[in-house]
Amino acid sequence: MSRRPLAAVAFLIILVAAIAEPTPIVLLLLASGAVSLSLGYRFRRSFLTVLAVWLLYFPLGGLLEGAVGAVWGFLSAAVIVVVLGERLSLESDLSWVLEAEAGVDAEAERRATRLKSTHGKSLKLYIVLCVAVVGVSVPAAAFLSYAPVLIAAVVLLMFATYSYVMRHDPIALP
Amino acid sequence: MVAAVGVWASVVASSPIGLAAIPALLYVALDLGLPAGASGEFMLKASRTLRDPKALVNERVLVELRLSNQGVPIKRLMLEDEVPRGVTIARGSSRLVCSLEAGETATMRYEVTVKEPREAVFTECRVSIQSRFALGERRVTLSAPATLRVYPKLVTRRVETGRSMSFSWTGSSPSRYKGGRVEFTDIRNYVVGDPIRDINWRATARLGRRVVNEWKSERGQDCIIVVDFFAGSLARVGEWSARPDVISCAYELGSSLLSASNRVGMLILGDVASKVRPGFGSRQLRIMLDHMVTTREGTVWRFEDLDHFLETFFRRQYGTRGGTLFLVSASPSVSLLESERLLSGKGFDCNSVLVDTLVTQKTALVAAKSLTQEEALLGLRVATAEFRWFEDMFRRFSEVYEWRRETGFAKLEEARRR
Repeated sequence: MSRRPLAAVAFLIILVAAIAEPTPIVLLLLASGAVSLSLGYRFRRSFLTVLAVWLLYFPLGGLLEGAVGAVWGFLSAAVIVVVLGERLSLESDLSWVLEAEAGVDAEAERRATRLKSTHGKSLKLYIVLCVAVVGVSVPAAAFLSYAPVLIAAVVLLMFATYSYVMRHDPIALP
Repeated sequence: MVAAVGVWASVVASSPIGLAAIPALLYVALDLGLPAGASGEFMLKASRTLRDPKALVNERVLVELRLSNQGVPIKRLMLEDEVPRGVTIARGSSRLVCSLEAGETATMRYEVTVKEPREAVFTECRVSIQSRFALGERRVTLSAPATLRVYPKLVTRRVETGRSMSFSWTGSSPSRYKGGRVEFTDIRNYVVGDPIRDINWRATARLGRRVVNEWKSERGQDCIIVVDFFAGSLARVGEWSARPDVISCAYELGSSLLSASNRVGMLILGDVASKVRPGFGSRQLRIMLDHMVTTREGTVWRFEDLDHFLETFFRRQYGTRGGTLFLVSASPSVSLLESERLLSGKGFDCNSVLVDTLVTQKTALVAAKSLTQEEALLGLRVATAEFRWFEDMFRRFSEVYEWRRETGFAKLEEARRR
């Protein structure tokens, strides 16, 4: 997906959330998100784009709460927000290259497409890890009296530690 | 840390809002560590080439910026080239986003145009080395110098003769470059030392004595073009400036004078007082053009200093007072008038070449929304009146020519008829 459809998805979420839960706080967040998204899109600023998407977190969590419950609703909202924000931010950066008049720099275009593909794979890995965290948390919660969130946090920290070690000192690992 | 606090707060307060910390923490964890290495790890080198370091105004020039990575692999980087002021990107982008393996070289290409004659200096580019999701970033600035010289297009206009306009750039001194063979006048008896090629063999055979042809010798003039780059004389509205018109005018004038085999020198009153010693030919024209392109407008040197400069730099011409001066300015002023009065009093043959940019300046003012159409029209009328007044004053001491981009040179009377 390129920049435009992703921004359209973000605007659609804003629209649906505004209709579903028209409370003042939600509307304020959505309005700020819409403004930030528009400015980020117009001036290709990654920071504004990511900020816009994170402003959707609470309204989107509220929207999904009705369907899958509060815990999983907010968890899903956060995952969506991260994926959407990350992809939009990358597309904002790439748009300088991909939306420029073609024919001059085929190499830049090819490299940008390659980066996009690698980034897509990283995002898929991220989603798989999120599902894994949730997948481990749900059965664990059946045996433990603590909230599944805590279990999720523990699993997550294991992932985080592993990831950190892998990146910083791969030679030290067996 | 923030994510951990979020999880803890969420558990303790039983509120689902802090749950965002979990995917966020995972997001950060996946992105950790990439640009966190020591600064020596990223051994990047940048180099730049211009397809043609010399170009004409509005001509597209291909810029190639190469970035090679001699260090560790970089998952994601953004290369952003610093484009000099006044340079416009015509095609492509001055940014490159890519990953760069160790030993790999990425090349970014884009085309630029420059609207006015100038020297555009490319100096450096910025590289942002980013982590996979760009949460971590390290910025470095790399030097990649290159210079692009932009020249005006030379318009060679035919100067109409007759009632409308009749002037030529022929002077009174014998030209070094002219062979004196422009027009046959008479024959005379041969004297020792006459060139063999001048012998008229038919007449010699007919008369039985050696006779040679006589020719009317061509005349040229020693002239100096004085170009006014004083910042106060060059109007500037946003991106628009009178400087390109002044350069084009002086270029056209120089070309015209040199093509008529005159000896031409130049003095540019800019940020520095740039001088070109008098000379002949197309090489001289290129030297003068190079000086005009590289000299920027300044605030120190002005027409008041002209007499002193002429005395210092062009001693011979100054001493004999035989030179002709062409004073090119986009803004007639009292200082120009005073200089002309002084120099014509000393015996110089002065010519005022006024570059008329009033209409384009008005258009630029309206486009920049500095003035309304009505205000601009009123301003144009006032400015034109002032321009005409100065022209009348200049006529007391010099020949006055007017130059416009569309029409070229015109003597004052012709310009007014237009």
